[in-house]
Amino acid sequence: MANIVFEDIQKVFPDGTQAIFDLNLEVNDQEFVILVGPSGCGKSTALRMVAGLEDISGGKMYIGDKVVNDLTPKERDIAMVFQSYALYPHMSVADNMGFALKLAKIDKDEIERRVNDAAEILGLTEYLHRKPKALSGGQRQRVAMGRAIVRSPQAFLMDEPLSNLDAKLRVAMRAEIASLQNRLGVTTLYVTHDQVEAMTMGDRVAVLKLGRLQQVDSPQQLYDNPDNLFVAGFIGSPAMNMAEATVRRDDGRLFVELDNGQTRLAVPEEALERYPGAAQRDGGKVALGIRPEHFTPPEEVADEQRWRGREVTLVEMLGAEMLVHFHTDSPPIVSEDMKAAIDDEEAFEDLQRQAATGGQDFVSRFEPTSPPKVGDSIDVGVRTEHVHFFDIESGAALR
Amino acid sequence: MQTLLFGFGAIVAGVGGIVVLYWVLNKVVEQLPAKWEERLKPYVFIGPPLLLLGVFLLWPAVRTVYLSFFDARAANFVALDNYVRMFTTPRYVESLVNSLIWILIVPALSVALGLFVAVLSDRLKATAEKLVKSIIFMPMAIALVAAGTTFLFIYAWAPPGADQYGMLNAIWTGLGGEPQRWLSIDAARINTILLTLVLVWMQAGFAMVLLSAAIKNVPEDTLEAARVDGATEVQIFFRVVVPQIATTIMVLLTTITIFVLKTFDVVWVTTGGRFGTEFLPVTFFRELVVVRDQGMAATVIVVILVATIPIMVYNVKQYRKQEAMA
Repeated sequence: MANIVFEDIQKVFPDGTQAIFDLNLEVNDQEFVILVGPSGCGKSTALRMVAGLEDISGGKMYIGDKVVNDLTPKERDIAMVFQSYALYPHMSVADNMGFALKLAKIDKDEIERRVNDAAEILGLTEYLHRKPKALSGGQRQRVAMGRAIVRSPQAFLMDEPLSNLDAKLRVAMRAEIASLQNRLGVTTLYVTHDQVEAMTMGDRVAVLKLGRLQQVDSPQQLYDNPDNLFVAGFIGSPAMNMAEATVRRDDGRLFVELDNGQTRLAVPEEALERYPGAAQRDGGKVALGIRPEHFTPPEEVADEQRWRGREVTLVEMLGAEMLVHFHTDSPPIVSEDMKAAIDDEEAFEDLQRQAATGGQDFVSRFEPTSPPKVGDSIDVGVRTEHVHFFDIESGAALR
Repeated sequence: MQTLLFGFGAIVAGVGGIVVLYWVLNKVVEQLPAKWEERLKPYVFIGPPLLLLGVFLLWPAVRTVYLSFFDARAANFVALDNYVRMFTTPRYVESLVNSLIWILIVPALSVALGLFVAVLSDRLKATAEKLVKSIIFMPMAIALVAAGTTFLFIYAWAPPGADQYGMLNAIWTGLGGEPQRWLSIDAARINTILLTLVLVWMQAGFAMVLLSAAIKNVPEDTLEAARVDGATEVQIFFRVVVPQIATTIMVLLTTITIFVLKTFDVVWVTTGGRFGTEFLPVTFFRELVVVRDQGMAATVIVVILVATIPIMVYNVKQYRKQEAMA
């Protein structure tokens, strides 16, 4: 087992487009790191460069302290799980799992023992003689995992291994892969576009946007302290609410003005400790971020943290929680960062339309008690100690 | 010009006749009560082709088997005499041996060459690939007689000292050899083997087209998975690519084998079956047209038929398998 190090890694495709810019990332020995980002951010390319399936245009790639730039996939001793599983259709499950060992000229009995062990772990024992065609999606996924496990490689590379499964199975396999990795202790780099997978599975998460690394941190750190607008908008579901707001210093205290100055909310010192830069923006516009769970019933916060007279536009009852969408006149942030974070052309166009009307809808998360009706006017409390401040232009957190 | 018009007229009349036939039959059936119309309609449409196949294919086949038990003039019953002659007379045995050579060489070599070209052309840029494939496919479009004649020039002989206009002899003498009458050399069946190359030249393009399509259907990520699993490119080809196109290879081998057993033209226009190059299709033609031994001609056909049926059955099975996978 080994660590994986990206050192100033570049990727330029033959047609001149650059997919990866100065990527620096270390996956420690036995660590589970998730590489996450919207489609086209270069995450799969980065993974394929580790595997040796893609040339490295610049920088150095290390696996176990050895520069592997010019090594073939074979010489790198890594195992990869593909999105499509890439099982060999003409081989039985056992042969699929044992293929790499057979190529390595490992003793037949040893291959059988290792294949059987892996099958045991993955619950595939009774399917060993079947062809992939005769397996369900979830079973194929397991075979793909098994193919990686039997080799006891330096590292596992996984390229969106769960995206071809249905939602229910995906949740189950998510937990299974995470616990398997934990048990085997194999260094793992896992690529996904699904931020829920990113949050739940890895030790650390590396967020990538348009070929540039945005932030690497533990999932909770990423969630609580995003470095920029993109990370803030990308991590979390429902996404963080973002709006243009004005910062006001008054009597030594800090306020944010929303709804074009109609609303003024007090921001306690705690928030300033995390975002000291916000205090210097007196009178200036900032991007204000509020996570849905940081809204509360009004009576739970002080009077100056209540946002009054909000019109309810949609109520979603989810059983354990309820999501209340309400209108604000504060304009949304329409920037490249937000576009990348939303990762959906239609949703972004929707946001642009809302921006043109000068307002937007915020999503708030509550206990599912006495839901308001659409059209109701409600007051919501804002835990302003948890709000986030970003520069509108650069998107950087105001730290 | 007149022939052209006649040909065109024949096509119009043929197709038009079928259309009229179906239209009339359909109208007739529609006059019947609804219940009968529904019952009869399928047969109205499938009937004519069945009738045609029966009259022109099935009946002659049965008749051929029947005739193979009769003498040269189809007059006297001779039981298995023709078959005994077939497998004991040296001339016929030679024909059988040559047929075996054809069956062994043409399908295998065509598929091997086709596969080779398909793999190599797959690595070219799109336009270059199209060009290369078109050129290699072209022999397929040439009439067998023309192909045979072309190779007649390649294998042509001129006396020593004269210009060797035959390509093979030009190369051969260039290397210091004496000019050879290639198609007369029956030692080691050299002439038969040279003649099989004509068909290989034609069929390799056909094999290449099908194999190229099959190779493109092999998922790229299975190759990448094999690369990560530590396979060399050669191992990937033989252990990952070839097994995935195995059904196509089998369909090709059987299709070409059947084709070989029908191909009389090449040998007929080159050697006419002389110098020990005769094989079953030529033997049939000679028995029927030159020797005028109807019983023996029928026997040859029955031998070909019996040899082809298992290949045909296998072919159809493989083809279905391939269809099911796609």
